[in-house]
Amino acid sequence: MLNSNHTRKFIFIALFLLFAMDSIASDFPTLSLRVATEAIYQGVSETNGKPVIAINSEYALTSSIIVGAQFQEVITTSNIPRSRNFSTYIGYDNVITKNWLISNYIIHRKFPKAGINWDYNQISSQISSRHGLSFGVSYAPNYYSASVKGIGATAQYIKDVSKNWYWRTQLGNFNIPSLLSYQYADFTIGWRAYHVNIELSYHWVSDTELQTRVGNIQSPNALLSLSYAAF
Amino acid sequence: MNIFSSCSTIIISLILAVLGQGCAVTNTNASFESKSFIQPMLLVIDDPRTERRRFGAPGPGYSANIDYAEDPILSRITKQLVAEYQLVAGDQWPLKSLGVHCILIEEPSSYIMQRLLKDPRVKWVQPFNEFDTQTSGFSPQKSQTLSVLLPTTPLPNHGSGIDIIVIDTGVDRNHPALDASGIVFENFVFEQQTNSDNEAHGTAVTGLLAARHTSQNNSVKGLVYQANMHHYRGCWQNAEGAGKCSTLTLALALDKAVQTNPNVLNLSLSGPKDKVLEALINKLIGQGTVIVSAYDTERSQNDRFPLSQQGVLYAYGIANEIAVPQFENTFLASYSALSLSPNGAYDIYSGHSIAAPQISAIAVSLLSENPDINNHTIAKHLKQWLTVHTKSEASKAKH
Repeated sequence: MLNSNHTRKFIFIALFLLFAMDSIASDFPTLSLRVATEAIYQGVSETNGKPVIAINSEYALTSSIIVGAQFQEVITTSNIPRSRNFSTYIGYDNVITKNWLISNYIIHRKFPKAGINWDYNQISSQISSRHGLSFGVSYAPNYYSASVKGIGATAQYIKDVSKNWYWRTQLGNFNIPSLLSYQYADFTIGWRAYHVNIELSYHWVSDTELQTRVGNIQSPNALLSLSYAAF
Repeated sequence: MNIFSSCSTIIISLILAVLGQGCAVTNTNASFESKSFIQPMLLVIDDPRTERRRFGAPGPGYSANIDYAEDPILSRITKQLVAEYQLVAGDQWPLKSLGVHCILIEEPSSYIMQRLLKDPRVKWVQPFNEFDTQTSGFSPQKSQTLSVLLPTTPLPNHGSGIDIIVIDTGVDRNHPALDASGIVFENFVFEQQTNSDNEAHGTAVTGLLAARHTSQNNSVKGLVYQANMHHYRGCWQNAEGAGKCSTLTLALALDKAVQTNPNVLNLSLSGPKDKVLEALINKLIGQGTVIVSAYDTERSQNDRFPLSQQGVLYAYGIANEIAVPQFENTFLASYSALSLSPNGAYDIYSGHSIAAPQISAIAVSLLSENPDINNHTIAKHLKQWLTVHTKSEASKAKH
């Protein structure tokens, strides 16, 4: 099932953290585990339909300054270049009015199994309403280490239907000036109880197969994910 | 797309995740564990989550979208405080509308209390209070010298389009005079499920407002039976038949009321000043809700729930008194009324509790006629309405 020693190490570290954190809980890092049928980033699949497992941890330096790290690995045997991703980020959340929050993040995305250097930095800015609406923009000056810019824009709305059920929809545009431009949308139904969250999404992308320097990117259409807030 | 090939992994993960819940401390099913405490207190702490989580805003990484009440950080900070201050703790529950987390504790020593109050994680520590519904003995004789609102006084309308919440003991939803499907019922007294639909005080209060069916055997017609009725069971009937409530049960019911955002909230109960309940009442008043509460003659102005302020109207049941108290925002209504009783019966009730739904009904009716009036001006309208109708009643009596 698991295709590398790194994945085993990653799970071991995750389990160790899971049991160790309570005993050192003077501050409160968070840890989320996720299993999904594929990984989608900015509207397109990064794993070409392969299921992934991911772990995300965030630590609040203050209630507004957050540092985080995320590791993601394709579960099944795969040689696709982006089967492993490690991202780190730091950001600042600022409440600007009673109901609106601005978040600014710097993200470093790393692809250890790519074979070539695809690592890149991205900055993102987002304004979010307490009532579920958010708008965001992102900018990568050297998208996948190439001498091209990647510019993204999204709008998202999430609505709680009950304590356990919610739905979410997202519209997005991604643009590499003079090279590539596509639009995407998705609709998600989510269920949550205790620390568990299950989501079923339908995705649409304007281009069914994108030719990029990181290979063909197939448009996803459906995604099932399960997340668990460990602490 | 390879959804089904990974289903087994997801199912196994789900089972592991659910099994992991055994470790969780947070118990949102609040109970009456306070009974085992000698001097129960309430430790109220701030929402420990980051600003982004408080807003529910998406971040750059994956995170589980879980309910605030289930966030593991709540149980972790509770564990931390309990261990650090050697507290004896019972139930804990979050109040979403205030963004706080409440922990039931045994009263700590004065030294620990001082340290707790200085801790930046702690918002406040307060007594865990008990409250009573405001019904007294049967008193059918109404004064002949005073003209007050009668339960039978016709209102300009029956409250169409207005939301009203009654927080009280349970209601007999199977009573033939009530349209059960038209009443939204919620229970916040989790360990007193028995007879939860069949308690006298709540049935009487909601009956006065919402009774619909009239027949020769039923002279009770709800004052605002067309209003959108919500009945929250935040109190329970004890073995002696008295209505009792606690900080916990009322906090949960009021927290839900803030989310429902009614036009009028009827509280036919009273008790000591309570900081967390006042915070919830302030939230409701801020949203424009009119609070109608039974007046408690036993308590001082500064030690009562709810406290006197704009947006809070007190209902005073008047019977044989010669000297009528004139407190600010206190309105007189009939001390006694015929209303519904459990098991499909009818009975005469008396007390300031019975005055409260009458004043609530006028507020509902005024709002139904003019939804633009706010809770700050409704007292003025209520005074005018009562003055006009009191004169009218007096005039009828003379003729």
